[in-house]
Formats: sequence, C-alpha cells, structure tokens
Amino acid sequence: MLFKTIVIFILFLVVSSLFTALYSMIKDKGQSNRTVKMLTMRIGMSIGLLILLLIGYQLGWINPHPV
Amino acid sequence: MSTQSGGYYLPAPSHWPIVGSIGLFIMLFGFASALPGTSDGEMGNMTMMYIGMAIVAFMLFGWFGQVIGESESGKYNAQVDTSFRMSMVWFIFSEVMFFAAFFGALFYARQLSVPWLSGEGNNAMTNALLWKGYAGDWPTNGPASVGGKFEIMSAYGIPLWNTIILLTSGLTVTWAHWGLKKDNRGQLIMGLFLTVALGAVFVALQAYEYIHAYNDLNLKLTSGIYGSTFFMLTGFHGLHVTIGAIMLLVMLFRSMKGHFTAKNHFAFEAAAWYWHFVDVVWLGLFIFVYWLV
Repeated sequence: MLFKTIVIFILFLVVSSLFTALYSMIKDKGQSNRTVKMLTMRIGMSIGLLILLLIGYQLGWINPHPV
Repeated sequence: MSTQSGGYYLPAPSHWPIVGSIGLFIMLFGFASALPGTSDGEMGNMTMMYIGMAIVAFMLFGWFGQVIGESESGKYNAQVDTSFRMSMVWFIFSEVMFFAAFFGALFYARQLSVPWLSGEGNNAMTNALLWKGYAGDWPTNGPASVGGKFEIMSAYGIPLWNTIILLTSGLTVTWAHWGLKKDNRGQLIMGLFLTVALGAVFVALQAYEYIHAYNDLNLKLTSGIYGSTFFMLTGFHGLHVTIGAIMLLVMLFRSMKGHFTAKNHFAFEAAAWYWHFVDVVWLGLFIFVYWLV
C-alpha cells in the first residue's frame, strides 16, 4: 500500500509539472526557458517512475493484475 | 488579408467557417443516418459520414495553412498571440474533461458499482437475490458475463514496450525543444523526426495488441464493463497519439522550412506540450489499468 501511495504521489508530481509548464507557456509567451525546464522535469520524473515500478516489481513490492 | 483598427485585430472575411459547418453537418448527418434502426446492431451505409470527415479535414488543412501563412508574413500582433494561447488553454481544458470522464467511468465501475453487485455497502440483498455468488473481482465483465469469458492483457509485453516507446518520445521532443531554444535547428528537426517516428511505432504496436486481444484473448469492446472501459480509454488515447503525431509532423515540416525562432514558436510549444500531455495520460492509463488494481 505504501508503495502504491508513493507511485500515485510521483504521478501527481508529474501532472503538476506538466500543468506548471502549461501556465508558463501561456504567461511567458516563449520569452523564458521555464516551460521547457518544467517539461524536462516532467519527462525525467516519468522515466524515474517507470524505473521505480519495474524495481518494485522485481522486488515483489507490487504486482500487475493478480489474474 | 487583415486590417487593424485601434489596436484590435480584425480578420478579413473568410470562407473557412462555412466550409467547416457544412463538413460537420454532413459528417454528423451521415453518422446519424447510418445508426442501426433495428436491434441487430448493424450499421448502415457510412459513405456520407466519410465525405463529411473529408470536408472537415480539407477545412482544417486549408484554414490552418492560411493562419500559418499570415503568421509567417508578420500580420499578427501581440493580441492575436494571446488569443492563440487562450484557445490552447480551453482546448486542453476540454481534453482534460474528456479523459476525466473515461477515467471516472473506470473508477466508478471498479470502486463502486461492481462491488455493489457483489453485496458491498448496503447492497447485500442485491447480491443475494439478483447476483448470487458473484464476487465482484476486477477485472470483470459483470455477473452476467457479457461478451463471454476473456483474458486480460499482461502489463509485461506490448503495454510495457509501448510505455518505454512513449517515454522515449517524450525525451526526444524535449531534446527538440531545447534545440529550438538554443537556436540549434538540426537538433530541432532531428528531435521532431524521432518523436513522430516513435509515435508511429506506438500506434502500430497498439493496433497489433488490439488484434491479439480480439483474436486470442476474446477481449473485445463488447466484453462487459472491463472491455468497454479498456477499449474506450486506450482507443481514445491512441487517437490522441495519432492527432499529436500529425501536429508534430506539421511542426517538423515547418521547422524544415525555417519557421520558428527561439523567442517566437508558440505553435511548436503547444504541439510539444500536447505530446507531453498525451504521454502523461498514457502513464496514468498504464499505471491504473495495468498495475494499481
């Protein structure tokens, strides 16, 4: 359960950085690097999240669909 | 052509809105006419719907092409720029609501309505009298087993590969974005090309996965609540990947023609952001549909 909570928390951070990027895209009108920086964070955290899921799976902390 | 008066941008009269209206009308009229009139569920002739879709595509191509031409010839002022950005916000708002509805349907079925059928909450009699013995385990096609026995897709295999492909395309589009910001046109073009190519691979693998689901797993759109939520979510996501890839393809062609600068590139940034959005939707899908049961 703790592991799933962490996964959801990171997903929340990913969504937050995505929408912060949207905000700066509208506000800064292309004049700053804020948008591309937030999007870089977004992709970095997403890849980190996938790696975490795969590590969690290998260590038996989480299982896809119990069939 | 455009005229400016008192700082307000006044576009010249255009035939594109009426072309779009006619296209949409013919498309929806064609669709409604083809809907099954009897309970056998057979769709009628959909030719008119396709003609409407072709007119809409023609309108989009022509209208956007004209806007790009006007933008490149320097006709637009700061106010037009703001209106483009606000339009993007509303477009994204509608997209978020769209996916929220389908994710909402998944959560509602999984956390509430299916457990109720198995007797949870104050529904003990529902289970005892109507669906005796139904345990409500997810994934399910309901107590009546609508669509027959099915198997689900394993998270390992194509769904995992598709996640890796889409996340890699998120990397390449970010790399292209940095290329534009640093006035490195080669990096911009290469990054966009790789992103579009990865998007195409994703859609192809998704199509392969659907064929596998239909032929080998008996997992279909008609497989009860699981089948319908699975295909509606992944199918509409796939459609959005296709739309995003078309947008980025246009950005690729425009980059090759020398459009966009480090300070003036809203179309690119909006399309790139949209790609990130579609990527995050997939990540959410992958995690909720395949992992967090």
